[in-house]
Amino acid sequence: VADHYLIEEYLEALWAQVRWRVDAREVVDELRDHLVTTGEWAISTGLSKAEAASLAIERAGPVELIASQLLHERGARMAMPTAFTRLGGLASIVAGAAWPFLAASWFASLLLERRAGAYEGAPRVAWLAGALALVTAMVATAVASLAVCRRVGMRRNWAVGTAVTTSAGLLAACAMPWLIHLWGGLLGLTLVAVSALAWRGGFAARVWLALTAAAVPAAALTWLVLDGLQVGWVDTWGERPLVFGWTVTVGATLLCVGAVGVGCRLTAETAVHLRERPV
Amino acid sequence: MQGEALKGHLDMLLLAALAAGPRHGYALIEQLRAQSQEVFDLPEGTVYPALHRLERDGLVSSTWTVQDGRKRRVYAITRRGIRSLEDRKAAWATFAAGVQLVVGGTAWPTTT
Repeated sequence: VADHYLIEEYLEALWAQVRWRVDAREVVDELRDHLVTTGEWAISTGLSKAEAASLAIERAGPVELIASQLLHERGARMAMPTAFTRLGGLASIVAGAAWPFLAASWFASLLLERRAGAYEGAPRVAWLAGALALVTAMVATAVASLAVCRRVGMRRNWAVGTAVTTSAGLLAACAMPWLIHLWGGLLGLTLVAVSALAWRGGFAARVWLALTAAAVPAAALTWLVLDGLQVGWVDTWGERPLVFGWTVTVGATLLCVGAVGVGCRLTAETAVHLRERPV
Repeated sequence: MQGEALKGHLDMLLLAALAAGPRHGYALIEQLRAQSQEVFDLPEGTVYPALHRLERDGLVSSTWTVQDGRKRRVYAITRRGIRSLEDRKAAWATFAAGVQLVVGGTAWPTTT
């Protein structure tokens, strides 16, 4: 009776109405177990599969009634697209697209510097400070928007608190770009945490989430490997600019693809207004 | 008993059923039906939102298990749930006694 079309139709109808719940899949799985168990009992009393499936559905009650209770359950977490979802998506696309620009600028300034034959680090550092502050703040805004408007496992006040704290921390850290371990680590932790929450919350664009979450760890790994191999020259500060350049490139590329993918998915979602809620 | 009349007491009934030991949803519903001698008749699917609400309030906990290759959610009452059940039972006893006094007691003397 488990795969009877009547039960499948019933569960699909329920899914269509409760899909805004963060735990919608679990809800449907639980009711599937209930229907199948009832159906098995009905078959053991001599009913046919079709009769057993009908009886199980009749005893479970109308889909609309169950969905109404599930959607209006006090404290239930919803992952419902709103007008703010699209805004978060646009921020994610812009922030994602800005990272390759940052990486390209780094390499360009490096090449110009080499051609000039002199170390002109200060302007580059100053430029990077501004660019990093802008881009990281945009990424933080985008991921925070994602967390807030989809409520991926977060209460709204927790999401807002996280977004504000992270943005403030990133902006403060970017004022000191040489503390890359600090702001890079902070950015990486934020991206991994929010991506994990969105993944757990059932956000559909999982490939893009994975790329976003992997960006900073992959960049860190690149730095460890290339620095271990002593790639490139050593500058007057004892650093290896080429190693850092490739690190930024790897991280920026992954972050670009991931953030743009997440942004496209978010902007494609049609906002659901409260008065248009399914039940 | 109709669903609407049962609705206000469903949480207490579910907690009482779980006090006997952990159960999955289907077993809980069967227990309620059997113990009430089929007096309680409500759409079975509506029991699950009630269980979720109790879990969110910390009165029950749930775990997913796999039985015969099928995913199944098992609920258990928590310590807080046991305390809440005792409170609800005491309130229900007072309420039921009051109702019984009114509907089944001695007629109130008339003043005319």
